[in-house]
Amino acid sequence: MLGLHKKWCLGICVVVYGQLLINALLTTNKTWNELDWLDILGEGGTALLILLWLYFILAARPGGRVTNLMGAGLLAFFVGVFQDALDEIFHMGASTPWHSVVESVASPLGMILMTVGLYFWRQEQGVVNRQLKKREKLFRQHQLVDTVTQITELNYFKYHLRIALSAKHVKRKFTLLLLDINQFNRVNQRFGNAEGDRILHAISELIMLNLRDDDLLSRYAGDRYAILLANTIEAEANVIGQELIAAIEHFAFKTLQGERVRLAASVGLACAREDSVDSILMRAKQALALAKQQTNSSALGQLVAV
Amino acid sequence: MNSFHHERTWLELQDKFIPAHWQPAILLDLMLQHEFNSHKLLHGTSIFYDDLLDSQLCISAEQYFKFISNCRKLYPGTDLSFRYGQRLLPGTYSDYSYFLKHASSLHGAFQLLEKFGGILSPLLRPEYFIEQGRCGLIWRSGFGQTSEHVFICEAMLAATREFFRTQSGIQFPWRYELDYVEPSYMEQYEVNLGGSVSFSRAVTRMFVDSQFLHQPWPSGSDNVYLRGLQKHSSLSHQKSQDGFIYLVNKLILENIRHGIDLDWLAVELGLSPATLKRKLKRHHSQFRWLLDTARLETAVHLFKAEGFTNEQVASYLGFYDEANLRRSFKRWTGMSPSDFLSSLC
Repeated sequence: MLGLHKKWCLGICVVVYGQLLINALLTTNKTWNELDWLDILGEGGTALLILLWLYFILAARPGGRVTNLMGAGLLAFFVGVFQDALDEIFHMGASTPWHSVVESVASPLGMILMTVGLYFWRQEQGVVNRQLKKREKLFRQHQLVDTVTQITELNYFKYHLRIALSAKHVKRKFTLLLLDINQFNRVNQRFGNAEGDRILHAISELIMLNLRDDDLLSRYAGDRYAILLANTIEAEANVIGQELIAAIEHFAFKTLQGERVRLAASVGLACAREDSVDSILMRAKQALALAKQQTNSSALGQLVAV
Repeated sequence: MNSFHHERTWLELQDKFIPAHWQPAILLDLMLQHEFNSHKLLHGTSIFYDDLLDSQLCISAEQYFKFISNCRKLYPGTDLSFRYGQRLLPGTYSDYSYFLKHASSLHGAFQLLEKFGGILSPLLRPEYFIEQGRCGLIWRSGFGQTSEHVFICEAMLAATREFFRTQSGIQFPWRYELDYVEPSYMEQYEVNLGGSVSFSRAVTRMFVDSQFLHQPWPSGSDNVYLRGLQKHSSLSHQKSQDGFIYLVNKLILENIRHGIDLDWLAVELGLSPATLKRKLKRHHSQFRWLLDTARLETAVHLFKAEGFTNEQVASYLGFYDEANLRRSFKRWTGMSPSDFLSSLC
């Protein structure tokens, strides 16, 4: 990301260097005995930390209004704090009225810019959150995202399952689906494992498009996905399961070489009862195993509910 | 005891014998696919990225371990070993892969995997076994237990399972016994290995009922695979592919009845006892520990496969009496022989 911000990097260098130069030229140094090291460390350290924040913001974000506002805010804030730190090294007094102006104006200005930036960032995040909703549901923890499919991995899913199972609302039924791609090892064998990974990623996108806003999709392991259908009774879940099977069957994935890959999926379904995380997962696994058995004889996707 | 000695050769941690552009390159490709930095991946291995592409370069087990360790630390998920394993076999390792692709049954594939183990699985040697209506592979550490042991076991089990399945078109009901404790990510074992899995066993192995052993595979060719076995016998007088710990373990197992000790092993290997100790330490091993593991493995085999009684096992392994065996068993496994065996199901 930092490569996108060449202008910002240059600008920061110019500001830091310029500020140091102007101070050095227009004032006189303090002698060693006059230096208060604790103040230098405290105020100088604060200024350096603000530069570090600036680095984090630029390294993490693409360009645009929000980035520019936050960047400008932090830079102005830095100038104010840095000026404050410099009066520990240089003599400031009546001959340098600009010192107190910079010191007292730059920091508040920076705060204001930063505040405006944060305001727009919040709006932007709302948009991003809506896009991420089905992937992450309640909270964000980036360690829990699967490397291949970019959806959440099983630990996150189990965490969520535990919450759903312990919820006191008796009326709130939910259903767990396990979806497995049939004979995925053949796909890997024929098209190569890298292509297989692309397919798994594409399928996770496809499933996501077929789910509702409140559902949660996660990668179980390998070519198996776990799906939590919120507020869903078995009959509804059956329909959604069949829709997913149909979607994957009609999915015309093309390899990098342009070859069409034909895919089919099996689904195992378990409705929440008086369950623990392990017991509901176990029932869904049994259902999936049954569905896979039937698939072997019919070659079409199957759905089994337990 | 075998009094006929010939000079033994083996490979140690720092010996460079693993072709870098074969299995290590597969792991590197997999990591680069996710845009990891190749400098970070190879950090501390003294391997350079450009050299890796060179088909001449061989790396040592030590370098390979370090590389795997780097990858494990950088990769965020729990499926790296399995994904890596699924890419390993039959591979494109010149003739070796060619012969393996033409294995005409489990029997043939097991034979080839054992014979070419030094190439097809350089860190963890597969050993073909048949006992009591079961057949399969025992996986033995070539260079001692390192922190990469679990990763390498997972990779090789995934590799062979995937290979047997795609090559034969048969869904084998594998059973796995593993010599390490159960990890927290069992779903990976479920989906990537299938079958039943048990942990904390005496030795790592995978097996099925012997009825599958000679069931013919559609892609097999007896002609080609037998040529592969012949090639092996013409190669066998060349340099040994046995890792130091693999060889030590083999010698201990073969002579387990004879009340062996470190000095005996030193003579057998043509080393001084002090040098042997130092070499074992360098491979994160101890004679005592290897002997105990081998005794446990033998005892379990005798109980399960041969139907020996406590008394018979005690005398076979040279214990003074049954009580001594029970005490040792308790030390090895924390359980009495009967409890341990019933936990094996």
